[in-house]
Amino acid sequence: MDRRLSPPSRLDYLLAGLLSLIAFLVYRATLTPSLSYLSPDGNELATVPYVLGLAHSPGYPLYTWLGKLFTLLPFGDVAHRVNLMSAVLGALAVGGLYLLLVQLLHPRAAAPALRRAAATAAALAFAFTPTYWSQAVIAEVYAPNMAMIALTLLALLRWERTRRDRDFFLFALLFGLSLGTHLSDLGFAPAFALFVLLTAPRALKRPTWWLAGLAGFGLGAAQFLWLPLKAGTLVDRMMLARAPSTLVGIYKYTLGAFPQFKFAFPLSALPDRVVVYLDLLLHEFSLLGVLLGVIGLGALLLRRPRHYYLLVGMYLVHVWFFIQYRAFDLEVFFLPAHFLWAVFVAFGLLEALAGLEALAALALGARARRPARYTLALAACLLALLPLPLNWSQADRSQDVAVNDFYANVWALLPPQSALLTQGGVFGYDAFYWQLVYGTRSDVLLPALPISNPSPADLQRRPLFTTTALQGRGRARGPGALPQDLVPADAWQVPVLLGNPASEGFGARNRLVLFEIRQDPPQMVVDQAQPQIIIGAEYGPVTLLGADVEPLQVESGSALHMRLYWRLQSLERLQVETRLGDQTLEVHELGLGLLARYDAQVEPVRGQIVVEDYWVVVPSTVSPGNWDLTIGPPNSPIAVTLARLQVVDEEEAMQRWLRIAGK
Amino acid sequence: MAENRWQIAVGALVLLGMLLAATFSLGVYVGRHGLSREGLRYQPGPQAGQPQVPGGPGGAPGPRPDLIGRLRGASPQGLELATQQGPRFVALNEDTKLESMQGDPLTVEDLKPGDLLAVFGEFSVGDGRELLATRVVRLPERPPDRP
Repeated sequence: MDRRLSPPSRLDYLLAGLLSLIAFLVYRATLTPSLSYLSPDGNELATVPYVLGLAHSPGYPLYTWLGKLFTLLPFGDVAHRVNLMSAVLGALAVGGLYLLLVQLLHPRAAAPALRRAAATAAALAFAFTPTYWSQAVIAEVYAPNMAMIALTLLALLRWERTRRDRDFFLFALLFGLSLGTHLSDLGFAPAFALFVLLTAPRALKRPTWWLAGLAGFGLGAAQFLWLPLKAGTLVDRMMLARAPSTLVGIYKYTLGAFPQFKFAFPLSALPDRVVVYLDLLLHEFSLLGVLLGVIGLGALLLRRPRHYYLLVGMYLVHVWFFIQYRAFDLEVFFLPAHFLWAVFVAFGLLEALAGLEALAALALGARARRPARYTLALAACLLALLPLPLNWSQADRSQDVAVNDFYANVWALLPPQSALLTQGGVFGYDAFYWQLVYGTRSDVLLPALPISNPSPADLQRRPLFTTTALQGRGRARGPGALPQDLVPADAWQVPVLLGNPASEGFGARNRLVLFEIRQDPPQMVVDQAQPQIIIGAEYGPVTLLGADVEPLQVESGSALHMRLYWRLQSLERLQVETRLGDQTLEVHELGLGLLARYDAQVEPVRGQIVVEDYWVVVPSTVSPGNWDLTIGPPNSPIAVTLARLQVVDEEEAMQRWLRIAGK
Repeated sequence: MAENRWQIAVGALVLLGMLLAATFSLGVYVGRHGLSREGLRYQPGPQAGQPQVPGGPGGAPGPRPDLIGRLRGASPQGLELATQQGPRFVALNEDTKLESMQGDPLTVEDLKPGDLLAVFGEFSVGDGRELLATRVVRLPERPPDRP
């Protein structure tokens, strides 16, 4: 067995660059244009780097600084640039994985062409797994963290080859730095220590080696001094409760954060948690990938025993910790384990390719060995590209404009000196982003932003609006939610602007609605209706008499003013869907959720003409042209056409968002 | 080489342990759910469509539940569902309303593994990645002709 690895050749660096480029081009094509709800805290992670603030626990200093560099790019808005960081660093991790693999795959296992093919196929397969791809197109920590893990491992292999203290320093520095993209990387420490012990036990006797390691790691981990430095900038009430301004605070903000998620399942649930993980693995790599990985584990053990301990050690600690973790979106936490599984897949694939090559030579003669080798290499690479078309539609976020389109119209609609109540903490950054980054509508008060615990006195004499339900079952909850007494309990929360459905949002986050908060009820019933568009469509006891729609020529990304006139024979809970062409603009309940209360407290609505008056966002992704504006129950064939709208696109979406932001 | 042999032997034991743990866990799962992924991922079937749940939360726009899935396990802290996206944990608190399709109130004890549930909820502000259920509706079983 070779004890030392060979460094990657120039061709390997070229191939790694090519793989990174392919991954980057795919991530770039499917990149989220700006803000999104795909990740619960993605909008915070798009904002904090720009203001060089402090992100939620455990703070992510390195992510923040790297993100700051990307915010200096001269195109797109700030969120777009931070999204781009995920694409760039995610692609870098793919190239890094290839470089790791070409060093680790044993020369005796197969010819260089097959080794490169196995490394290429595994790197591509990992690049286009659904979860990794999803994280490489939004502002999140996971793709940058993969790049840091790849760089750390590459540095460790370099030290293994050279045994120079300065290379060990570099490894230790990168390891320390990687904690700033995800603190769970600390769990790799035992596997690193075991690998060092197996590789160069004598190094432990050298003070300079210790000095290099401790200095490197210490320097990397020193980034967490950012936490006490920036603790004073926190506005999130929950984060303030464990502000990292003392040693105890730093512990609570980092290693001690989110205790309710850790080891949250009893030991008896372990078999089930293992199956949950296996299901996620199957989802990412398919049955073939899982089987190749199992074969690869055996091959890795036989061909590279020390690296087996390194990689399997890292893998087991990570999987052990996260199978007992209780986060809602568990799959993203396993990405480092999937990265390591891709290494196992490469080893398994190489054994399979070598076996098939030998079989071809046996069946077709020695002359067939070479053509068979290249055919197999090509087939492996093509097979690894299969997830690309299969996962494209799910991973493509390039049309995810709902959040920006909605807020661009919110800022345009809000009256001067108003107050906009939003969710607090990381969930408020869909609105905070605009003011923190661009100073948008600085006359509008966002109480959850500058005041960690706003009171009614802060809102006096301001017209009140909200993007989050303040009362009832739909209101935001949790220890960081807005105080319930912020507005009077009997206030009317009247929808004025309806955004497009945010595909990935949960709860309030899939209903982008701007509400006006008012003490008096809206005028919902009129004696006579003279709509511009006469309809007379009956939906059981409800008749849509007509509508006013303006303007009939609309810029994509702007809003349409709708006034619908209904006659109600009874108090029906009818769902109404507005569509433009085949695209759903919004779905709401007849009466905008106010009908029952209006009927009970203001005047009866049975037999009356009920008016709904609101604005609805026309997505900036609608192509210019003439489109039918239709309305009716969701998924119903009995929708009626209200008008034929001319959609124009005179201003690109990003330019529009930036103009409204005030840039 | 002798050193390698020891490393390989111990490594093989680790690998064997991993395979045994995986096999045992899969065995427990198959014992409970049979050879089906239904215990992990809810498969609505091509004809089933989105189950309709009466009345969205607060009457606000959007009748769509935030999650639909089969109950994997329940505790006072929350429910774990097998959804189309995989297992999802949903936290419960004293304000969470559990009800049947007809609106009858339910308790956590009334729910049993395999029940089809629709969840309306919000991410708990300040607690990171935890979906707090505001309303959980137990849906009727799918008819046999709509698997």
